Amino acid sequence: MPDVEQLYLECREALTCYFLRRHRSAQTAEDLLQETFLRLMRRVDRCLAAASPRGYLFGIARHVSADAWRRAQPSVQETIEATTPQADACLETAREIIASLPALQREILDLRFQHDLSYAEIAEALGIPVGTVRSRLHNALEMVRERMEQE
Amino acid sequence: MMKPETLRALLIDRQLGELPTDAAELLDAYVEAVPAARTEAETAARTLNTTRETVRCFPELAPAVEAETEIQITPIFYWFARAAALVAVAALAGWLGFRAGQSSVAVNKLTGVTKVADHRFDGLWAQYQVAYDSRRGTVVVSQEQ
Repeated sequence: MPDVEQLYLECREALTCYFLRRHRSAQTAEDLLQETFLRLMRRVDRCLAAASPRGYLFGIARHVSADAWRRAQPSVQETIEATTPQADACLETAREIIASLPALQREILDLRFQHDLSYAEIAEALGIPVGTVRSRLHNALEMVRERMEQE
Repeated sequence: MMKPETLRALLIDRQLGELPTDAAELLDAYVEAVPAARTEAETAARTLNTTRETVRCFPELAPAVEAETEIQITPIFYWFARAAALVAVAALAGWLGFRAGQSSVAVNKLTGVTKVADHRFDGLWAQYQVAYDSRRGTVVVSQEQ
């Protein structure tokens, strides 16, 4: 499976980072990375036929991450609290705005700005149209811009 | 002049590398030529940088649980949905037709319009249609068009 190997080499680091951000444990990130590729092997044809195999892989990673959360905390209530002690006022304002966005929109921002996925890859990962990715991203940026202009 | 919201959207796409090369070149030329567009470009760049930095600084912003439950549309689900929609439309059309038929019968009964025998083709009244309206107590004569 040379294509899968290639995909593994290309995405291993990005996926580890993705899991680390969500689970904050190197061991968990490593386990989830393995699980992601195990799941990928079960539907490798679909992945390689996808418009964006990288996006497809992130889609699997997203489900793996969600399943891991559910296993760990079945009734987890999502709360967003600042864990980074100090940041400048501008970032703090932007953080407040982003924290108030719906989860899907925050996920789009994360995939774009943290993992550098293109619109098409994000669309593939989240199973939504590219136009939706673009409009949600623009909408979030517009909110940040407006707030920055006010201050 | 380009609408500000259009310009802003294009600038974001440009800075995220999502614009095709030719469109990006055109936009660059426009930004070069129009001072207001240049200001917008700077604001867009600043917004993008702040957002990028914020997302990277605050990992807790990334949703930990699945963002939304999405309906996975498989091909089989898709065809079932289409078939169900077709059946629903056919049933609705049938029901409407049945209702229309029933109501026209009811109207005819209510108005009590009695058509007399049609002798239009064999006499003086051949070009007229004559009917008796029992409600008004009048005979209605209409000419054949």
